Amino acid sequence: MAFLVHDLLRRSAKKTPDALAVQGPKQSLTYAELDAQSDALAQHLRANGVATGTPVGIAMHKSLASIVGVYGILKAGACYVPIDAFAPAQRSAAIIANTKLRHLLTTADRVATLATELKSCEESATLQHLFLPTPPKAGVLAPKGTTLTVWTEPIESPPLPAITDTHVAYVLHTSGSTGTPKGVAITHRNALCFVESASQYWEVSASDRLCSQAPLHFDLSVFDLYVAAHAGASIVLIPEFYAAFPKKMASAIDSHEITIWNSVVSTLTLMMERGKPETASFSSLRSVIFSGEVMPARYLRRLHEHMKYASFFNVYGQTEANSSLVYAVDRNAIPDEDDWKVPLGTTLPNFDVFLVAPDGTEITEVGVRGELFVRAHTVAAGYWGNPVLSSEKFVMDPRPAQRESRASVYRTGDVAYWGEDGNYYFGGRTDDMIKSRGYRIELGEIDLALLSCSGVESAAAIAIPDDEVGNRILAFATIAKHSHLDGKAILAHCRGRVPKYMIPEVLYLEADLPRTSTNKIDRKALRVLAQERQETKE
Amino acid sequence: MGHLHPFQNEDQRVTDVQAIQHLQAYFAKEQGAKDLAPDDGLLSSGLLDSLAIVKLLSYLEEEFDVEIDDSDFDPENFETIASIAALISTPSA
Repeated sequence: MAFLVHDLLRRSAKKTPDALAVQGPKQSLTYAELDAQSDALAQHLRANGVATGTPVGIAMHKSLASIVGVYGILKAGACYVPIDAFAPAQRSAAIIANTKLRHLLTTADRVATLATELKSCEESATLQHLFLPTPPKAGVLAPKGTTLTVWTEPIESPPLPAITDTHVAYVLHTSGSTGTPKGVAITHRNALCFVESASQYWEVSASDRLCSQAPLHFDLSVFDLYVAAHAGASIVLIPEFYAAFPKKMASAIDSHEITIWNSVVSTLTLMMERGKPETASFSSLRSVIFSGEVMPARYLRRLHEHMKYASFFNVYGQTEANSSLVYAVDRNAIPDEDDWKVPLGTTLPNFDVFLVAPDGTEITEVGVRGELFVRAHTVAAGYWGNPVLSSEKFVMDPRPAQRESRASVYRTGDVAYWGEDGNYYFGGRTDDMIKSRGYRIELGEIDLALLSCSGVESAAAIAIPDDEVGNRILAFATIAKHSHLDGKAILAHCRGRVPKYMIPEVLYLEADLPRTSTNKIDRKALRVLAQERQETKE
Repeated sequence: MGHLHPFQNEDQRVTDVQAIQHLQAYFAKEQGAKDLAPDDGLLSSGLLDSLAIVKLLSYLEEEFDVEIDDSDFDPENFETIASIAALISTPSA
């Protein structure tokens, strides 16, 4: 087994240098080219002060250059921190501040906007150095206080550092209830143990072609990139926006002869609704994997009907644990009832999952609910720069017989139970986290974004379950007496602070919000109210 | 719902010049993309992601009272402000 993530690339480059590693929209890279180009970037990073273990930001759309970027950062002994290229400036700045980024990889066309964005946020003042794959247009200057380097020009530099699998490979940020995103720090060993497990389970080989659509800040991207590199297989970069054009997506799957497609539920359901799936053959597809939220049975039946040669897998898990459970859908076992829930499944190879009751004892009976814990080498090192939260979520294995192992386990916050059939089933959350369009969202983070708008006195976001997107987000607020604020202005304010997928679809302005006996906002009552209003609208 | 309806006359679709202005204002507000030219790339430049497109669709259907036909639902028709305007308007004289 390889010890470092970039060893997967080095190994495949040595074994099959001319094999296709990445197919882009216009150009492609062989394993040898990807290896050589990322070596060159690593030299530039080292020569410009990137030390072992330092986080390096990457604010790029998925492209050939971004894949070179990821491997270049790893080879420099550093860890990559993806920043959503679509995120509002304040969120990018919060990530830059959380990891104290000094170095950032971006593209020439982003430099001008980046300069304006960074100026508006004090938190991003740590940035010193920008690296670009191509030179910027004449006249475009680096943001004040930063230097620009174009990384493709070869340079001489000292040999690359030796690191171990306990070093952090990347930091992925997810929604945090305190209003600041949490950075999940994944070590080389965490990532590789997942890659090894997934490669084995899906029997990925050099002849596979994996659809690579998830942006780098989404943990799905880890599957495409590294499971492919492990097998010497190819990834095909499919533009993210194709997810909204299901017909285009279906024809891309066919024309690129994709064999493994790891997607999210909402992309697949949209394809069944609007993608004219009957016009595509999907003849190359052998595995379709989905995660993010519960796949409704009626869509699963339609997917089976249209993708005749594919097997379907529901994967369950969190960025913090690099997934954990898988359910291989049995074509003949999908009942006709629409309220049938896809099980979370059973453990992937080398994962241990268990349920803990509120009193701390392990649950071993069928049907009893408890919080789901994960123990595996894939369990993250913790949250970057947040030891307090890390110690709450990453704890010692609490089972009496396991105490001596002192193994770290992850508390998912998900409630689950064991079914008669040996599968785990989802039973809700222990907190206010929800899933929408495959994204994890803390409702508290939306509350805080609403409340940060001056004039808003109280606010609460709520989630209404929805078959197609998992959850729809609505919100309620009250405003100060003499304020002239309206819903549009409040939402516009939120757009500057949280990503688009967290913006409520509708914001209801009220005179009062219902309260519980302990004077907390009564979200249950708000959900009922929202459902009534939505129904009268329809 | 209280906001200004973009139509002067309920029976007519907007002209493409009006549509372009509305769309420019929409992208400035929603995407923070000011001074977008009618022919600037929206998808190829990476300005719009899939979620932005889903939101754009509901905006178009609500504000312009149009239903986008499945056969028009192609990235080519959403690549620029001008091409979206052409979808939802009648050509100006």
